Amino acid sequence: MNPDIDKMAQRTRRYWYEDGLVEIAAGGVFLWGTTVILVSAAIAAVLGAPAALVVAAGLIFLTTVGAMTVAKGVRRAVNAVKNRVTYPRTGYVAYRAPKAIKRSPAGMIGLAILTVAGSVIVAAGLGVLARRLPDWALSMPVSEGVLFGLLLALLGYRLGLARFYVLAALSALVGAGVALTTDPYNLLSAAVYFGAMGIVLIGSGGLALRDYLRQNPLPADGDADEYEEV
Amino acid sequence: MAGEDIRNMLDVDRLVHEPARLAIMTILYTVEAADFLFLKRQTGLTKGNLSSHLSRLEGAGYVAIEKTFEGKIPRTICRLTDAGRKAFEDYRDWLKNAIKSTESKQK
Repeated sequence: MNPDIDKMAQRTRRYWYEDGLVEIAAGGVFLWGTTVILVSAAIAAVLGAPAALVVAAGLIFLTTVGAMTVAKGVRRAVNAVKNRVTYPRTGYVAYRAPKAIKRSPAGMIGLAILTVAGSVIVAAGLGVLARRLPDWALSMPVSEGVLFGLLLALLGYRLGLARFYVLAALSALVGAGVALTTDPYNLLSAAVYFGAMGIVLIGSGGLALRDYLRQNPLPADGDADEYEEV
Repeated sequence: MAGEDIRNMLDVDRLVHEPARLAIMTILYTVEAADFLFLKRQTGLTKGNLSSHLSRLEGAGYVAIEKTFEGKIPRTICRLTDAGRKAFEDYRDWLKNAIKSTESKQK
């Protein structure tokens, strides 16, 4: 046995994503986002601008304050399904909670300086881009597609999971496609992006789950846990 | 390589240094806890081998083993203790220093 410490740690972290259940759950969250936008837009269209403001405030509340609860709820739901589907087949793993950011005064000042400097650089970069790129390329669906794509690519690199690179490319393509085929400055285009990506994620997760179940049948009774005290 | 360097090389924690136990500790260091089935699949060890290595790590106070049930199915949960986590970190530092030391001697 020749253990590669980094690869073994990476494989252990990757296990959470191997059965595709996380992608299916993320796809569900995206479709929920689409529903919220569509319902809010419908309410705004019927009740007028003041109501639209209230709806927008509600949306902001839901996406910021509610995000933590949603993330916790989704994680619990995924864990419950894994408890029935994944853990009996390939084993149980509990992951460590992410470390809290240390709040030293020097660290907070450093973070503030970095945030201001980063914002100036991004704003300057966007200003340059705005003069050089066509309008649709700076629209909401394209930004969403590229940002979510970058996140997926980063996750794929960290976990060594190739299908996340494909999903990253698809996210950028879906964003560009939605921007070119709808009015990219209408909020509804964001709903179309979320809906399309939701379907892509559920499809990708479904395929991963199918492969996982084929490759990992349930062990026979008594074979799952064979620890013997020595 | 000076005599002191060689003596430092011999200071390695042999309990962690053994490849199968290093693999087990690497996995448990990455997570909060993992069960016997997961460790067996990830390391590729036989049940007897894995049980034996886990017992040695438990005996040294590096790993805590808890037998639970999920419904009617038994589940053996393993986790690194604080001492185990420190032993793994010390071993990692020892390995880095050993590599650094041999590299600097070659230059």
